[in-house]
Amino acid sequence: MSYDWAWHVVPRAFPALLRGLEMTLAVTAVVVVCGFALGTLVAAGRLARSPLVSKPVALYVEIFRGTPALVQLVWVYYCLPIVLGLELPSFASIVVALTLNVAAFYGEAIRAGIQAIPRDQTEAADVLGLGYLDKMRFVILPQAFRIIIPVALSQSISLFKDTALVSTLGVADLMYQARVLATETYRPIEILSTAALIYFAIAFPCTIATRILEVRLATARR
Amino acid sequence: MIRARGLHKRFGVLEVLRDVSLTVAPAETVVVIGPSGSGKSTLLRCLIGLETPEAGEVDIGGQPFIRRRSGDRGPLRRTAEFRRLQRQMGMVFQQFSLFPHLTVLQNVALAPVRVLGLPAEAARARARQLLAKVDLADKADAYPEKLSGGQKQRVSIARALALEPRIMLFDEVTSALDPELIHEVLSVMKQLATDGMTMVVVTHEMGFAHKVADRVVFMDEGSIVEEGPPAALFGAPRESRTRAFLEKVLTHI
Repeated sequence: MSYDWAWHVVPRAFPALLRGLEMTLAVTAVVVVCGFALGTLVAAGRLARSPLVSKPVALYVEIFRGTPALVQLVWVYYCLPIVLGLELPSFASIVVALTLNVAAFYGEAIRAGIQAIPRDQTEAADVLGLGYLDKMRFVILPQAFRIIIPVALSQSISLFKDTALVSTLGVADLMYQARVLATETYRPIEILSTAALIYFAIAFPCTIATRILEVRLATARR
Repeated sequence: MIRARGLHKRFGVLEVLRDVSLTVAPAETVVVIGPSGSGKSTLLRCLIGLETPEAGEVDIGGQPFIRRRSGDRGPLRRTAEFRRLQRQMGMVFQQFSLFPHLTVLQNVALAPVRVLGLPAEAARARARQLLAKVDLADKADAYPEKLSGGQKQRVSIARALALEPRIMLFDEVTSALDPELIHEVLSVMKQLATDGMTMVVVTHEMGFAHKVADRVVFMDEGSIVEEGPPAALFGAPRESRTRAFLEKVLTHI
């Protein structure tokens, strides 16, 4: 059995794929920013002294880490309007769903980074009279970020690939365009391979950069 | 200057402090000695509010700092008043606990800017002065990892002094140092004592206790067994436990 490759469809498909890539990058960027902001709050909540705060936040984290991202997307898209009577545009609803998802992961990375800082740093800051926010800003977080940044970056690279899920909800990202073109051209293998290569061409250099950064941060002053 | 009454502290089933009371007069240097696990460090950490005693009281400069009755739960509340009294005390730790991501100068100048509200330039000037005092003026822009243990500990002393505390607490500050570096730290502490600083020093350096202390306190199994002027306590200890301890630490091969 032989397959007749038809790579000539690819150049014509390229402009549409790049438009899709733009959407993929936009979704990734918005979700990274919102997710990191929410993740910081999640970490603060997990570390709160009061179990009334830390327990519900822990529950949220476990729910979003313990269910498939696709289920979360579909749930926010279809069920939220029913439960809350709130109709979101599809872009907004995928941003909400993915933000809730990655914030759980970022939150855990930030919490772990903060908890990795030796206790004597907190005590030294306490006896110097630094308040909670100053202690975080000047003593704990600058040290914790060296641990957090590589983890958060690799989670962001995963997110970039996982955004392909939004194509199932009709958002015109790279994966969506690839599926449309695959159907139009009857050439799914060529088109989807191209899409895969585009994902890889972006994710792989980022992975390498993260690894270099990780080594640099690990050997930096401490 | 410090008045602690009836301090009780336990870690799980282990009773670390059993009804410890200690009063320190202004400008007095009290050295606390005793075997490992006798509760010396825990006492120091209770005085400055790093540990929460189960029961007991601490007054600083005549003002109530810690009030704990048995049955009180949860950690100490770090109210504004608590922090105001806490920073009348400076503390130096065994493991230096410098901030590794800041230069020596930034380590010393951070609290004066953030806590006392000093302008950055004034705080840096004060930090330089203090570094000169501990003989480290040339290390201002170095990072802690580039310093020897003795230098780190002197920076740590300068950092604590930057808040102009009325009391200094030293928690086994020479225990992590190479023997040849101990002297440089002790001589800074001796100078402080001579200058009239109120000090509580937990240490294994009997020579320092002998020469610098106004009063030596011997602790064992969570209690103060005996206290007195160094000449009396080292020369003629009253309690058998004190004698046994001193025989062990003072008999060198």
